[in-house]
Amino acid sequence: MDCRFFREQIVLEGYDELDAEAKKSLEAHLQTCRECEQFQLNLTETQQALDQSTEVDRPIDIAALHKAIRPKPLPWWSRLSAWRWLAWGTAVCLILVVGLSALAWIGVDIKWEDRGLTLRIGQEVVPEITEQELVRLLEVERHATQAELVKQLQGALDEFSEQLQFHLDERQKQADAQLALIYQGLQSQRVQDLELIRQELQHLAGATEAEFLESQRVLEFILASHVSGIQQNTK
Amino acid sequence: MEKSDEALMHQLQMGDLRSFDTLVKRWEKRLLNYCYRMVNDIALAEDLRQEVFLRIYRSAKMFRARAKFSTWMYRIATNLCINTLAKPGHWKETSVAVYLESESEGLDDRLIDPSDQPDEVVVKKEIEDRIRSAVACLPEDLRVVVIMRHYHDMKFREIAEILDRPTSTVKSRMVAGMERLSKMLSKQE
Repeated sequence: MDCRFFREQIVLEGYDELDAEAKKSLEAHLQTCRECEQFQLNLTETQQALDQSTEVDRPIDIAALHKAIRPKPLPWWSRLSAWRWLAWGTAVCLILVVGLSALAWIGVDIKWEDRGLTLRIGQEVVPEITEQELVRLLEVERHATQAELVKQLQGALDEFSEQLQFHLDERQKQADAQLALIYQGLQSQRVQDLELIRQELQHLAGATEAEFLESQRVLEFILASHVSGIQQNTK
Repeated sequence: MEKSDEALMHQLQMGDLRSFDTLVKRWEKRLLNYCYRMVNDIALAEDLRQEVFLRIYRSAKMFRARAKFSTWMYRIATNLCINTLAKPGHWKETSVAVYLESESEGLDDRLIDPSDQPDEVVVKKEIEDRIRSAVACLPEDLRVVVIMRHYHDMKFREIAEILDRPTSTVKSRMVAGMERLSKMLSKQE
């Protein structure tokens, strides 16, 4: 075993922490090692020197200690933080009140209905209704229904009138076409008749009395048939 | 019969402030001296003592009955002292050269016995300062072991538990610490 180990043993022995067996071993070593013996002497002297340093005694200020351990009063802003939930709640309520008031002011209808708060933008607020007003409103409602009915009927009538007008126009076109054909027929007939009359007049110029009378009869017939044709077409 | 520290802690966990006062009274002197030897500044040591008790009070509910109160308390104090010394404002030169150049400044009323003669007072004060300064000059890892073992009579096993280090490490640090102290103190003579 080296001296390092024994010096630890010397320190232990110096502070009375060495058992009897180790003490014997140490004493045996000290018999043979001058350096360790010197270390033991130095240790004893150092211990004695250290013992000359006395202890100080300054009682603690127990009142100051109590004061220090007592929880310090919180500054006013920290105390406010204890009420922060209430402050937040108040702020939220204020914002709601101000916000709803602003909405009401700009004309938004705010109502508390069965399903919660309802906002209607652009509707007038209906004031509280009396029984008489309710009757009057119902009358208005009935009238409004009649007016709607008239309007609906008027619409249907207008539509029917348009369709009728369309059919009339179609018929007019058809009639015009028929009249044009009749007119053409008449024109053609008139040209033929005028040719026949011209021929008869030429014949009359050199005819006898009997031939004149025959021609007169033919002309009267032609005229009569012509008038009859016109009358028929007119009908 | 005096209640154990652990029983007082249990009562404190139940909200009994008097048990805390009892613990404070029981440990105030030892804790002050531990902090004082660690930081070598009595005013700072008093502040640290107060802070340790405050932390004990505030962390009382975290204390487990199986743990030993003194172990827990010294662990808080050690961490606090080391952290305080590590702060830039509390940095202190700890080389042996600086120690040897240091001189005592004025008399400390704490160490003066009214029965002492003026010369004896001065000598006593010088010795006291040199020893404190020598301890304060040790590196933190050695200093804490020397203070705990020599001045607070803790077993190496207990120190190892507080520092969360193997017992062998604590022993070797003690050997190193005592060797350095021996050299520093012998040079003065």
